[in-house]
Amino acid sequence: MRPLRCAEWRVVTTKTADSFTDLELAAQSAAGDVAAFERLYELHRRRVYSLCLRMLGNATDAEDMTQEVFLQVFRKIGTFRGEAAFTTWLHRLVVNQVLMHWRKQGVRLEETTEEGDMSEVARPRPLPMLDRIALEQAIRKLPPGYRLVFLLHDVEGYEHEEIAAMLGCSVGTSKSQLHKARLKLRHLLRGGG
Amino acid sequence: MSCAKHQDRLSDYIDGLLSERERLELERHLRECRSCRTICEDLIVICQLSRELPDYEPSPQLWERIAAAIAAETAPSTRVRRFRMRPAFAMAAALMIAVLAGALLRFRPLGPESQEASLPAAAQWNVLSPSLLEIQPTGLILAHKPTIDREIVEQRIEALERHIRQRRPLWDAETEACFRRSLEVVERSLAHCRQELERNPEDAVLRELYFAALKAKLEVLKRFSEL
Repeated sequence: MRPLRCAEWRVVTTKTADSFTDLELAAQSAAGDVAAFERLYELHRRRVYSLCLRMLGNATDAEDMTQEVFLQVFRKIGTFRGEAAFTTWLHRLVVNQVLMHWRKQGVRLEETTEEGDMSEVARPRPLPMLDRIALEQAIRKLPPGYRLVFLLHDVEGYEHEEIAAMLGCSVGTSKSQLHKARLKLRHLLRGGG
Repeated sequence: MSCAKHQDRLSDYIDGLLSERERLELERHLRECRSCRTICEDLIVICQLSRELPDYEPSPQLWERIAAAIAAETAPSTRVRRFRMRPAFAMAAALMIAVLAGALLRFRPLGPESQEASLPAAAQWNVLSPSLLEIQPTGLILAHKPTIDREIVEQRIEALERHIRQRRPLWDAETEACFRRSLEVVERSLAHCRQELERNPEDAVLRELYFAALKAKLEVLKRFSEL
């Protein structure tokens, strides 16, 4: 880390901190500018923290993981070249941290449920009035593998190709996990265990 | 095709990933099958609500923790040895700079008839020409005339203050006390200048002195930002 040199400092003054792109902020951070890195943190902290919170289910673990993610970002920021969006690069680091965390805890991502149990042919009851709190609680009850794909696709808005690249699985697996996650959520929201 | 097969395609249908033929086929089935239609409607509601889930805010202390961890990681080991020597030097420099600025403030010629009356319009409050003082990192005063925007100096000060806030948790008590004392001296000079400038806003010499005090603050922050 070093303070900005005079020339850099003048560049900073010609553009407000808010107008730098993620790529510019990343380049400044890679050069040791902690203020630029703080700006990146400010821009992305909520999404990273929210994803960690939904994945891990408690605020303390989520903050610890958010910290670890941003430390990883700081260590690796020099490798970010802007080929992908910064958020995609960042979320990939989050996913890696989550997977590592689960691996340490012995969580198996292959965990699935019996889809036959959720057949609705005989029971076409619609969902009760759905609110965000109920949905958050149901998401927390999803098996880890389903939860991760569901959050990346339906909450964070990633495509199956991107999720497959992040998780190192096939697009078909991502699609299948997502569909099972949605069915499981419906099951949970209807009062199923 | 059975209901189970149709249900397997519901997510792809909702996400718009089916071919035209598959979509039409599924829609025909949904019109006829209440059970599959209900599931489809439920999944749509779940997807819509999921997109609207809010983001949550981590605690305000999280950045401090991250910044402290970064500072600890990036601090070279040689800095540890220099750590105890440099605050004293920074303190001495800060005091010297502040005392010089204070002394000039006391001995400057007073009165509205002094040189500021003939200042051109360009010499406004936000643009300072430190013709009287240009304090160097060594504490020397030079007599050259770069025109420096006050806003730029203040932004630089702000950036250094931010940088120091990140480092500060790692300082020992001695460094912390030294920093507080140094800054106090400079802030006193700045406050003095500001007070005088409120009475005589057009006073060019006061503006020069205010600028000198700002530069003094900049120097102090620069020195401590390296610790």
